[in-house]
This record gives sequence, C-alpha cells and structure tokens, in this order.
Amino acid sequence: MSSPPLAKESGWSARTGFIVLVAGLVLILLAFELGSPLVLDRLSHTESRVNGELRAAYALRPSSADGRPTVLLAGNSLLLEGVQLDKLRDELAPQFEVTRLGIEQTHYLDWYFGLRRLLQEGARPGVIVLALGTDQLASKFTLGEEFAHRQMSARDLPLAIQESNLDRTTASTYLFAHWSNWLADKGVIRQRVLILLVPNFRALAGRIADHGAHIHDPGVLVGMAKQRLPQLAELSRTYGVKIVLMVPPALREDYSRDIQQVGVEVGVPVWILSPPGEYPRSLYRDGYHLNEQGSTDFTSRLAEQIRKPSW
Amino acid sequence: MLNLQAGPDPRQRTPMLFDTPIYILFLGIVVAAYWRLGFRSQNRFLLAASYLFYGWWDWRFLLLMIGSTVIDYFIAIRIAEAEDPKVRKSLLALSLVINFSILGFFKYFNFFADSLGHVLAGVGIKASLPVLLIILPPGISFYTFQEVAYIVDVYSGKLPASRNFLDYGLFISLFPHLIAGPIQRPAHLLPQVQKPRHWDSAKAFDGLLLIMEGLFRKCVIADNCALIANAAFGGAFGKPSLIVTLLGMYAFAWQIYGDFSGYSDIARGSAQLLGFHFMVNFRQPYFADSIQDFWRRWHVSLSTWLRDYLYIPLGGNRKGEANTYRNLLLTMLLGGLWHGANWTFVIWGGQHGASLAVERKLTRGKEIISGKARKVLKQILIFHLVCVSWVFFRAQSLRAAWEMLQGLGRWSWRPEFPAAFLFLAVFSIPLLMLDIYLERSGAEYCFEYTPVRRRVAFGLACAVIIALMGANQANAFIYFQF
Repeated sequence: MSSPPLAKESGWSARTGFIVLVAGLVLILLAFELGSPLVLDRLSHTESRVNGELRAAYALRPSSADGRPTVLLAGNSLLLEGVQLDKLRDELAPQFEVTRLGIEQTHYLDWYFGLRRLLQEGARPGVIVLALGTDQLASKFTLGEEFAHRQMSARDLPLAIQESNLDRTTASTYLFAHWSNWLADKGVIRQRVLILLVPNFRALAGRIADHGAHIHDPGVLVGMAKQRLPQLAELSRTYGVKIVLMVPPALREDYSRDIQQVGVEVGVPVWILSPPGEYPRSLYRDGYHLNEQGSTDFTSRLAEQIRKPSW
Repeated sequence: MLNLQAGPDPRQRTPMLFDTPIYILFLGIVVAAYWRLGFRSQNRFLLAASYLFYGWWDWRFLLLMIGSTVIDYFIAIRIAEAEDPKVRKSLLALSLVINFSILGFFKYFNFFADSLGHVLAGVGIKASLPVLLIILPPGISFYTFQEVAYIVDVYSGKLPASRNFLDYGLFISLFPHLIAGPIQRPAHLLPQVQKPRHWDSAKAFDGLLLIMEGLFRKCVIADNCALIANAAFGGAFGKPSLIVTLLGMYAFAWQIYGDFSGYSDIARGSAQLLGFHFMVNFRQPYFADSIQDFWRRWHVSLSTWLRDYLYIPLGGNRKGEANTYRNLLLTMLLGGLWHGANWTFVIWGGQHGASLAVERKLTRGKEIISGKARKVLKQILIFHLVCVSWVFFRAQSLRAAWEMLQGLGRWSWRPEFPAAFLFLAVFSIPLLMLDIYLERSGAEYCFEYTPVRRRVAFGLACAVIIALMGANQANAFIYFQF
C-alpha cells in the first residue's frame, strides 16, 4: 500500500484495529446467525407460514388424534395458488385431516430430499401428495442454500451432490448452509430490505427472478420421470408412506399422460385432475398459476380425488 | 414471495470462489498456519495451498498448470545460460509456441474450427470440422500471460532466471492471483517471493479492509446489478427497446465493474494478509475522460501487459501514424479475443481499438475541450461509449448484441421499469460515491487515510451491508471464465 499523504492519527494502532475488526466481524456473524430466524419469523409472513407448516408436517402420524387418515400436500406456488386449503379441509373434514407444506420456487430435488428428511426425522403422514409441474419434476435446480438448510439432511449431502451434479465449491456451501441460519436466510433477508427500499419491488422480482430454464422436450421430461418416479417409489416403500404425484393444470401440452404411464409402471400414482389445455386461460392468473375461480374448481376436483377409495 | 435466485446452475462448475464460505475458511487456515512457519517453509506451504486451491476445481488441470510451469522454468534457465542470440531467440520462440498452443487449444480450438466451417460454407464447401468437448481450465489466460511475461523479461535481460523451482512455481500459482489476476509482473512479484516476509499489522489490516470492500463490490453491487442485466439481456423485460437496452447497458456496466474490481480487491487483500503486494487493477475507470484514460484505469494489469508485451514490440507509436493506428487496433483486437472465444469479444476489442485510433487522430495529444464542466461532459460521453461496448461483451452472439442496440430506437413500457431503475440506482450509486471518494482522496480503499477507528467502522459497516444485501453465489465472478 502506498504511503499515506495524511497522518493516520488515532488512539488505536493498526494491530488493535486488526484485532477489533476481526472480533467485530465474528460478532456480526454471530448476531446474524442467532438473530435472523427470530427476526424473519416475525417480519416475513412467508417464513412464518413455512416454519409453521414444517412443524405441523414433522408432527404428522398416519392418523390424526380422532382417527382420520392424514394427507400432506407438498409443493410450490402451483400448489399454494392452485389449491384453496380451507376449502379443501372443509370438503374433506369428515374423512381426512389435510396438512400443507408449500415452499415457493421449489423443484423435484427440493422435495425429494425434503421428503426424505421429513421421513428420516420421524414424520409419517398417511399420504403425501406432491404437486409438481412436469418440467419441475425434470428440473435439476434446487433452492440453493435455503434448500440445504431446510430440506436436505446432513447425511444426504453425498446423494445431493450426485443428484444435482454439484461442484466442490457449491457442495461445501451447502454443507455450511445446512448448519448456518444466516446463509440459509440471507436471500429472504435481502428481499425484506429491498421491499422496504424499492416500491413495487414484488412485481419487479417476479420479472427478474431466476426461475431456471423450462424444459419442453418430451424425451427429457419422460426420461427424467423414469429416473425420478422410482426414487419416490423407493422412498414410499422404505417408510411405508403412500406418495402420489399430482400434476397441476397447464395451459399447454406437458406430457403428463406419458408420465402417468411411467407412474403406473413403477407404482407411483400420478394424478392429472385437469388434462393440459382443459382449463381456459381465463382460469389462470398469469398463464401458469390458477386464479381464484380456477383454484376453486381445481380444489373440488382434488377433494373428489382424495375421497375416491380406489387409489 | 419469489426468491431472486434459484440454486446454482448445475451446468456450471465453479472453482473456489472468493465470496464463498469455503474460501474464507481456506484463507483463514492458510494465513494462520503460514505465519507460524519459517521463510522456506512458508513458500513450500503456500505452493501446496495454491495447488490445492487450483486442484479444488479439477485436479487434472492442476497437472496442466504444473506442466506448463515446469517447461517455462527450464526454458528460462536455458535462455539465461545460452550466449548465442540465435539459440536464445529459438528458446523464446519455443516457449511462446508452447504457451500459446496450450492456450489456443483449450480456449480457441472450437471457435476457430466453427468460424472456419462458416467461412467454408460461405464459399459453398461443406466441411465437417471436428468440434471437441473442451473444458476451459480456469485461470489459463492469466497464468499463461504471466509465464510469457517472465520468459520475455528473462530473454530481454530485465530479470534473472529463477533457479529455484519452488519460488518460480509460487510466483506463477500464488492463489490470490491464480484464477483471474491481477496479472503480476515478474519484476514486481518474483522478488517478493524470493525474500523473507514478516508479519506487518498495518499491511494485514489494510488487506482485511480491502477484502471487505471487495466483498461489498462483488456481493452487494455486482450480484444485484446482475439481476437487472440478466433480465434485460435474457428477454425477461420483453423485446429490446430504449428502456430495456439502457437498463441492460447500465446494469452490466456496474455489474462487471463491481465484479472484477471486487475480485481484484479481495485478491489484493488476501495477498496482503500473506505479506505480498499486488498491483492496483482499477482506478475509478468510469471517471475516464478519454478511451486512452479508460485503459489506464480499467484492468490495469492487462492493459499494461498488452502495452509492454504486444503494442510496443509491434512498434508502438514509433513507426509512423498509420502503423500506430494499426498497432492500436491489433492490440485491442487481440485483447478482446483474450477475453473469450467469441466474435462478440473481437468486436468489443475492435471497438476500443478503433476508438483509441480515432481519439488519437482527433486529439493528437491536445485537449479538444477544457474546463471542469466540459471534462464532466467528456466523462459522461466516454462512459456511454464504454457502455455501448459492454453490449458486445455481454451479449451471447453478435446478432443478440445488434438486436440489443437496435432496441435504442424502439419504445416500450412496463410497469416494472421505474422499480428496475430505482433498484439499479440503489446498487450503483453507492459504488459511484465510493469512486468519487477514492478519486478525490487518492486512496486505494475507502477511508484508507483516516484514523484506525474510522476504518474499523467502515469494515464493520461493509460486513453488515453484505449480510443484509449480499446476493448469493449464483453469479460467479465473470473473469473466472477468461
């Protein structure tokens, strides 16, 4: 470093400055580690909801206290916006207890590892209905550090590396994030700050968010289903929990019928409650997520499907 | 609420990035162990750590780098020992051929094969040229240039050949500069490697602050601006129009500056924690009032390398006006190609070379406009010229770049545009303010010439801002791919 033109006058020497800076950095890290879950749970409705749903999911047993079979609905925004939870609960209340675990922007790997961890740690719902679009079933993306913290168990890290084809740097970040609250929460923290700083940030986020590439190739979609549905079947066998894949409605061809056939072959029921293209565009909010009217109809179909004794 | 970034793109493999927990841990362990060792052991330990750092990505390419290092080490000794100028020249040529062949194969084979295929197809010849699945080893462009500089310096007698492989190997592979520079001059770094180093609290304190400022530039500025740039260039805002193109240009201008200057700061800070000094790589480039001035401020370690090892050997400005323009253009074209095997980089370099030539022709060393306000106008003009060139740098193809620039003549509106500009302002203005401070104070990092307490406060403030606003590692350092 070049010699300073001004005297560095201070009561502190550089050595003291170095030590205080290092100590301060450690304290800041600790503060974020300990404080972020508490603060986020209060500031973010989404975090609070997800944490509550996770706690409820972990507590699930095959039957509720009053003897009704339990159903866990798991999925992303297609589930959150496509199924009206209160309406579904009302419709199924006499026969089933329905619990939801919805985490936005999640794909297959988030849920494969998320369900593994849930079951490893003792959750035993009667049925798990996993709601994923066919391209999300084929996707290799995860929610990153948030996934590593919330959904991946430490012992599944080698499997996650293999399934996601992670390089060593990302794998190590996942390992740190598994144990670190701050690494997992920092994306949400930043969003909260940006919501405060930038008016209309939510609309902008919808535009600039990284959704990952959509997969349209039927060969890839069916090929990945052939790899992945057996994994769900294996999970189902290992823990004695029925797992169903529910494909949400889509405007365009999503090859769900082909994937349903794969499901028949490997023993994982694939529900297509509305074939692709059946619902008109007017039932969608944005061409992808159902609107109020669409979700009302879809929820009724789901309730009807769950009530069917055949599955 | 949507998360802005999904997890890592599984198609990309990343080396040990400076903004990841593993690097922070690695650096902490290396620094702590390093200062407990004696001089020779320090060098041995650092060489091993640097090889581990590089091999972390893929150990097979570590062998390539070691092989390249060994070859140049022995060729340099032979050059120093040889007395016959013809032998010396032949050895120099051998080294250059080997170095540029390795670089050319890994970086440019497919580019030239593909381009040749297009040319042949253009004249009606259908040729099926081989396209190989070649992985570009990280840092190959940087360590190759450093090796070439060493060989040329030894050949020209500016530097004695190193007789200790450990020292030479460490000079090439010292981990803070290994992947993306700054490209170290042999005369600057090699003597530092060869002499004992002692703990200096002031240097270490400066180093830590440089790292904090670098992380701020990278994680807060660059990674957030990248979201707007990616959306604009990726079509998330719709077809290019005046606003989309401006958003993309400005966002990428701040992204690449924050990214690369942040990387350089972290590299320099890491080196200082180990007792080394690296050259400054950025000097507030967006305050340049000419293209020539821009290149005195932007990626200084590359621009001075190109000047000393390409432009001057080509004749520089010593062989008449026409040759000077040719040399400027050639130097910048090759400088562009150095950045990547794509015609977009060639055009980017060509645009800068042509601008330098035109500027030289118009000004001939004289100030066309003077006065403070006029200087600011020139700075704004140069900034926008540079922004236009970034379109070629960022776009995936020439066609995409051209479509983006054509957007300047189209109008479209989306309700998210005001928020996008505000978002960009939130993340670019702090870097602009930082640069204004650095430009005025002459400091290398914020508050460098202020009391220690204030600098501690700056470092801690950086940490809090990074914790609150830092994006994740979805956007790897741009220069790692070069």
